[in-house]
Amino acid sequence: MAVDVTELFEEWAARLARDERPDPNEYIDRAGPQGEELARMMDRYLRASRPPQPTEETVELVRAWAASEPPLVALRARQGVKRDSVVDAVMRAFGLPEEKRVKVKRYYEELEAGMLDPRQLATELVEVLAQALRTRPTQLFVLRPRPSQLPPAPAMYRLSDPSVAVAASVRAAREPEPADEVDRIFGTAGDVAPGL
Amino acid sequence: MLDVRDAEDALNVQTGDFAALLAPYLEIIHQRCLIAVRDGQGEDVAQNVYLRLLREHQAGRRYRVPYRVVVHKVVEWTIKAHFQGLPADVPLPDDFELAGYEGGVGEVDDEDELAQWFANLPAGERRVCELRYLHGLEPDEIAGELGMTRNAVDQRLFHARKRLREIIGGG
Repeated sequence: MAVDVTELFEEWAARLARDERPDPNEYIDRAGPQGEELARMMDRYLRASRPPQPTEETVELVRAWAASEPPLVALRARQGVKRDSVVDAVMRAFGLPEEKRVKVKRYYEELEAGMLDPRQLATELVEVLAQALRTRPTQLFVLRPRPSQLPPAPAMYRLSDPSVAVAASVRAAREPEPADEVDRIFGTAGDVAPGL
Repeated sequence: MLDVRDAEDALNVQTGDFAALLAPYLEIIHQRCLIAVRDGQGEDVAQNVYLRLLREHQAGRRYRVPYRVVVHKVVEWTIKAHFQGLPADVPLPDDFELAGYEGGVGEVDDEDELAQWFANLPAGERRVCELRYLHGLEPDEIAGELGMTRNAVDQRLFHARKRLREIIGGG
């Protein structure tokens, strides 16, 4: 059945208006041979759009980012949520055994520091993180840490809990472990030896 | 045509409130970059646009055109730089804002105004389209809002889609 490019356009625009951050390429793919026409329509629409008033949370995120603070850390601080509480939420949501806590915490710290690619996270993890941070999933990774916010080198990266660093360096020195559920949800299952 | 958004942007440029300046445009920038750069690096290009706008701001640049024009120009430059393999951290040339906008501030993008597109639709379709496209309501919600049947809403959206395709797709 032929795809109606105008219906796809309308659906995308409505989701955009609802601030759902739709993936335009999903729609362009669905349009098949009419994908280029749809892409042109979307781009013209965006150029003609006047953006709505941003939420205070979004403004605060940009403010933190511009001031060289990692956005995810700023979001967590704004909501008054401790890093351990986020880790607890992930542990609970995925029914992970206690021995995985160190690994979850380390990955989460890497995520906050911009060392893990948020696009690789499992959708259900993004939802859990959003819930833990009391925000919408689409708000979590709008901005990435700026290059100057990234740790200069792995060895210089200071984790909040020294035991995490020790455990990680011990783990990195060993043979790579087989990927587990934690790797799957953080999207590192394909990495041979995810290090600090 | 300058509007409320432009006026707020001008105030934010004046007061140096970069966060308030960039925040409204985050999603427009993100979407435009994803549409133009489909090799999986669209997100990176969007981040480069944010950085470039921040650097421009930190350098104390002031503009004679509305900030939205600057935003779109920086998006286009950064996308172009991506495809040409050029670095994205080069400052924009002093006269960049004039390129393609010789008509002056008052005439920027007038014909592309979204509001104007909808204004050109017949009255019955206009309201339905505003609720659908600008407010993101589902057809059932629009029917409830306007006291119409779902079928009537679908009919109006159907006709409006054809007209919008001529307007938006024609460029």
